[in-house]
Amino acid sequence: MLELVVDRRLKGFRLQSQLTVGDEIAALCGPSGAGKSLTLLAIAGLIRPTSGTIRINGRTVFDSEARIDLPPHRRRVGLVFQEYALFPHKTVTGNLSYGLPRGTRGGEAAGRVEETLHLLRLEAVANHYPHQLSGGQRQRVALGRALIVRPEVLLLDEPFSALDLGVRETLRQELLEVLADYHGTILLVTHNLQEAYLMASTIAIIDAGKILQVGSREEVLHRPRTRRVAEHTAAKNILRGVAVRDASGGWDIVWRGHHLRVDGQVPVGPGEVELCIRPEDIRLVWPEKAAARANVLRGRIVRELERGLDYVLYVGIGDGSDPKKYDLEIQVPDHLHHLMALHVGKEIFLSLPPDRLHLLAPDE
Amino acid sequence: MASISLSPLLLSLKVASLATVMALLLGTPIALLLARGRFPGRAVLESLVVIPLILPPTVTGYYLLLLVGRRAPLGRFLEETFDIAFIFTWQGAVLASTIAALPLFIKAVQGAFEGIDRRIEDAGRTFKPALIVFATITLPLAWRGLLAGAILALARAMGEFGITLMIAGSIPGRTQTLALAIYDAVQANQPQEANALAILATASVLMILVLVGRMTRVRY
Repeated sequence: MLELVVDRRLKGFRLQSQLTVGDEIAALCGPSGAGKSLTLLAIAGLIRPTSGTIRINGRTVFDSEARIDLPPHRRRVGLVFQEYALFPHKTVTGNLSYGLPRGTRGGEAAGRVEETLHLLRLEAVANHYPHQLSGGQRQRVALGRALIVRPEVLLLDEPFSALDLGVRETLRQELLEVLADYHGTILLVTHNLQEAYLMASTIAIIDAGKILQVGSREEVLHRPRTRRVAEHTAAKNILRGVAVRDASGGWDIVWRGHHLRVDGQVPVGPGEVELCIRPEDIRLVWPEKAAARANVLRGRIVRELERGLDYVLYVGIGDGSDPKKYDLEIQVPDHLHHLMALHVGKEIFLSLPPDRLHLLAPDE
Repeated sequence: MASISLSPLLLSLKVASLATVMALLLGTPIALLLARGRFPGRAVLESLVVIPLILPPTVTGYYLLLLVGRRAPLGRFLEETFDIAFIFTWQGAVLASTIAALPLFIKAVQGAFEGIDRRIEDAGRTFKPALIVFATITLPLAWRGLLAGAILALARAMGEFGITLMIAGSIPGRTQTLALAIYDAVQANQPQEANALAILATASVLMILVLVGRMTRVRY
């Protein structure tokens, strides 16, 4: 369990992180320069926040008011750096055993190293130096070096950014397998939302030094709290509508002349609202079945982008034809594109599922 | 042929090696401070450090005279408290060589420290106290720079002339180092002695360099 409230002021940048993570994998996700790595460094004790508190399993490791600031080596935090930061003058074994406490008996130390080498399949390169290792091996050494001291919190800074695209998929799977045996808090930093989704159960979106939303991965992806979060999670379709009472006393959102229903959410009151829907959540419907579906709109494809495995269609609602002006962006798989014989200029019917259409709160 | 005394060579070796040790002890923290520190006055310190490299040695020597001379407060304090005098003593020659060698040492070592990826040290700090990280990570990684700095320091100290002359003088058997002895031999029109001393100087420096070269084969 990791609880932090930190504030750090720098020239032209202010980091204000507030986050609580249980014994799970959480991802801190945001663009570069958002303050992700800075947050990790503050947790590890490598930079000092201007003010705030950091607690690990109830133990206070930093408290500006109480003047507590444990040095990094006494925080029981393991940090895997972005480019791994292995000790270049030490072998794999030397890197792994570096962190073992001085009191560790020779036999026990050797046993722990042996165990870690085995866990991370590094036996064959035990006596190699970092520059002789592949990217994946380096990552495993960095991970083993952090895990061998049994930290209570494990921090991973962009663990895949130093690797070739081709091996990322495999290594992500391997990393998850190794981490499955680790019982503690894992905080992963990444700029890649998909990576965050694949690795973590909880996602925190951070931008310009502020954590904008923390929630389960589904929640953050499908129910962004504000417009800014929606932009960071690539929700793409942000619609500006007007909330009105319907005949039965519920709410409708009027957008482009259509009355849209939204499930499970109530606007603050009548008037302008923003809502969003992800490109992959919008359904294409056959014209003859349109009447049976909710929130069906008629539109025209004004532009399309072929991406190899799928298509992005830009759709103008009504009789749109100007390729620069579109209302919705939707994503359709290759086979559906063929099946429905889609092309620019074709008229189509779309359904915005009420459970996927999501109201945004105003940005603060 | 008059047999030449080995004492200038021995004195030179003693003075130069002590000066190198002094440069190492004083210069390493300063280099670290310059490489890592962010504090007001950093630029001033950085310029101060290289001054002895640029000033005529006689001027540096003159400043030192003013600083540690018998009538200077600092000089008097050192003499009364630690019984160390620098004027016309071999200790003075060590001080002169140290000051001459420091800028070269600091610059070489500062570069070495700056070349180390901070994150490697940070990684160490998540496991061990800062001092141990310095000893087990920083120093071994800066090893080549430290060695290069020490060689430069030793070479500069062996060749020290001007500052030494200003504060330690050239007293045969006491403060007359090799460099000063050659000058005296030439002044006294004794070319054979000058030749012998010159060969001695060259040979000893070459030997040091070969030894150092052997020690610095890097493993990784």
